[in-house]
Amino acid sequence: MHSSPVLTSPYSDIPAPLGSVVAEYRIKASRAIAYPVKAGQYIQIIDVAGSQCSDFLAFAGEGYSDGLDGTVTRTLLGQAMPQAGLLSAYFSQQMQPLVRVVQDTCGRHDSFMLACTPRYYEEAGYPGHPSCSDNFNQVLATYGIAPRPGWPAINFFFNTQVETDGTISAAESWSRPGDYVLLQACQDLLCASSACPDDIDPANGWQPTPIHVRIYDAAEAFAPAMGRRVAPNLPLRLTQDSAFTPSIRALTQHLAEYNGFWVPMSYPHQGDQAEYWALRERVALMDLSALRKFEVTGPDALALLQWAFSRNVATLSVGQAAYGCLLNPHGGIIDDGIVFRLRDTAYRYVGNCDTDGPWLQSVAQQQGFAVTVEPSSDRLHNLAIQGPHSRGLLSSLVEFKAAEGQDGAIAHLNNLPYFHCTPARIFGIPVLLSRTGYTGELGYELFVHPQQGAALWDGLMQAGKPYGLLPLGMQALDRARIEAGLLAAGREFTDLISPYQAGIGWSVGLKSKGHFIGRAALEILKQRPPFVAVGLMLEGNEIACGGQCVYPQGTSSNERYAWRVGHVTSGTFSPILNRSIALAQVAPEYAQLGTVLEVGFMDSIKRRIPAQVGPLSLYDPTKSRVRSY
Amino acid sequence: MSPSSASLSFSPAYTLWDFAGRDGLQAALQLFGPRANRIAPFQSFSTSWQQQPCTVLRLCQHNFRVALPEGAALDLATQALDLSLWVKPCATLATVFLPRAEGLERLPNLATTNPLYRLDPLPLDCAVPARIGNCAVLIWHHTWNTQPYLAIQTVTTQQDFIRQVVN
Repeated sequence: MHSSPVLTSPYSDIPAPLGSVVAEYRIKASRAIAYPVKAGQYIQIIDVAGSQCSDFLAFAGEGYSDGLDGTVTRTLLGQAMPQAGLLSAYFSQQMQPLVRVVQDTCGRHDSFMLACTPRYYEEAGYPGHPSCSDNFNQVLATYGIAPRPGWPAINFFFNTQVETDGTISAAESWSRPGDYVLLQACQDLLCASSACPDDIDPANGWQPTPIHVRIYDAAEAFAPAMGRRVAPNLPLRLTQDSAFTPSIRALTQHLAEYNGFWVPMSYPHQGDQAEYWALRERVALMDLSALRKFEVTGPDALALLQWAFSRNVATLSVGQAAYGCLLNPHGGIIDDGIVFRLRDTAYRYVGNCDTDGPWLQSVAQQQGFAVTVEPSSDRLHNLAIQGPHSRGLLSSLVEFKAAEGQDGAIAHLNNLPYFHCTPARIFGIPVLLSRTGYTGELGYELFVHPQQGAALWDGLMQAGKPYGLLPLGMQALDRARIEAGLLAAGREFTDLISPYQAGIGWSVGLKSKGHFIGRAALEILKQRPPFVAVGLMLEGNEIACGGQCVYPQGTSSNERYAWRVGHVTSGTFSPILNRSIALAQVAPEYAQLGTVLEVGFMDSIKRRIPAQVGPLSLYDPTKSRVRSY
Repeated sequence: MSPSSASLSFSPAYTLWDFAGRDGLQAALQLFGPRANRIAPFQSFSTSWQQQPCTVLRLCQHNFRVALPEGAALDLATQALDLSLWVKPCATLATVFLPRAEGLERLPNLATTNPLYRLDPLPLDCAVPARIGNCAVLIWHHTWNTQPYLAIQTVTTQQDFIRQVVN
């Protein structure tokens, strides 16, 4: 059914328009519409009531002959679905971009299945049930488009997943009321959208509801963003730029969403190898603003951190910092991070998760601690400047205001020890300067107010030229952190993995402090963690990846001993070691240095690559570089 | 494959070879030295090989393209390494050379790339996969035998089209 354009927005059951609305359509439950869109215009497909799928077709060319093609799209992008950002386009059969994803607040859609068909309902015992494909046939007939028994559509909000055994499972949509996908047309199009009529399975929550479509003016400029939900009590968060992103965008378009921020993956004509070598041999600059910061203040600030954080922070002097993790009662790692002691009763926790703050608050409330936990990520963005020349570069730029010895203040960068911080100014910009990092190199991090972030970035890029400074993307950072045995959330640890398994058992203050969350579980886990973290040096040049299985040596031809002893968590090719390396978690019996294991490739039967157990940090295992003076 | 050129005055005489495989990087390191481990895909460096000029272009983690003087036998040299890789001359590729300054100025308007790559600027010792019209090309700004060159690699059947466009 073709709906007439509505030029105003009288609908109160959906979020307000994002911009100037050219037309809008309400698709009744279980119906479909076709509508024209001009090149440059935006199409917002809104799930009105939640859990409602909306299948989408687009046609370009003379006689609408060039239709949107999910297979072409998957092949050209190398991923199941386009996403806001670099790989955002849906392509046609002629490999032309038809629409780009600009924003997506749901993040779960289907591009593998047909729009629902009469056959699906017939085989389930519902002959004559309406279907998206039949509804499309009706509304497209007006435009002379021949009917099909099933339309290969992009099924927005349809929650499917390809399982490891190849089956495609479907379940209730993830979308909430008001969730939307915002597309931009790359050329003049005829589009069709449905409000899926499926009420015989959970796809639409058993209750088909309407879909709303808004068309926005091409003159609008909507920022690309993905929606991220991390907790029921936290709002949807759209991908944001850091203070440094505009400067970074001038250098590269290769940005990806990471933890709610757009971050550079690599820089053109530079590549991650050059960035990596700049880090290892000279100096590199990176945006780490995706870290989350929380100010923990009050008379019981120390008590809270002693209770929730793995490390004994009572020994920290003002200006000192400690790496550790937040723990849950069964000894799992909620998050890893650094506690900075800024004043007597003021600490800053820098971690990875928006939920860290609410967690600390809830712990404080349960324990009756007099403390406030305030998120400060929106006023503290941070750069890391890392590499053997980072000190030389910064020394000439940093001004220290306080007199040496005052509140832990220092007068020269040479006097800033590892895991210490100090207020300072660079180019007159106030920063908190810490000697910390995530690279295995001597390095510093600079926390700055976003308003002055661009000036700081530009100044450092300019001042770094004589030192051979390069901006560094996430690809090179991942190489460096794997070499250095540094953990990544979701790969080396989760809330089901203890610090003893993740390789940071040294950060647990079992001996140095009293009771804390997870202590009872950790006392047991310490005796024999199910797995322990190791570094692996692989023979040959194939690169291992997370999830690959680890076996004892020489067992590939012996069925009796074909069991696994661990798995790879991260892998890379180490340029400085000139070999393939990995981080793995293996049973303690197989974790001794020098033990030779095997990493399974493909199906783990076709090829296994010998790998020797080494320290978690295969590069500079004594940490001499990060500690160097 | 011998390169063809829009003008002989800026046309080096080299032959292109491809090699790739599980041990591609190790082959590059053994043949051409440690710089092979310092360049990213679509970056290149010039060196010498068997006392002859040579330029090495990295195409992927384990994939390389090498410009060598005509008559060089890279395949025989790699056989001795006993590594897992294939080596072959780029028999289906033609190279069209452009005057550098003019080419660097014109190519951003003639060619399109995906957003990962940039033609403006295209520094020396960098390459960019691109399209000129419907024709896929690899634009390579490189050094060979100490001289800088700007080259467009394309399939031999498209070289006349490319030459027409760039001229």
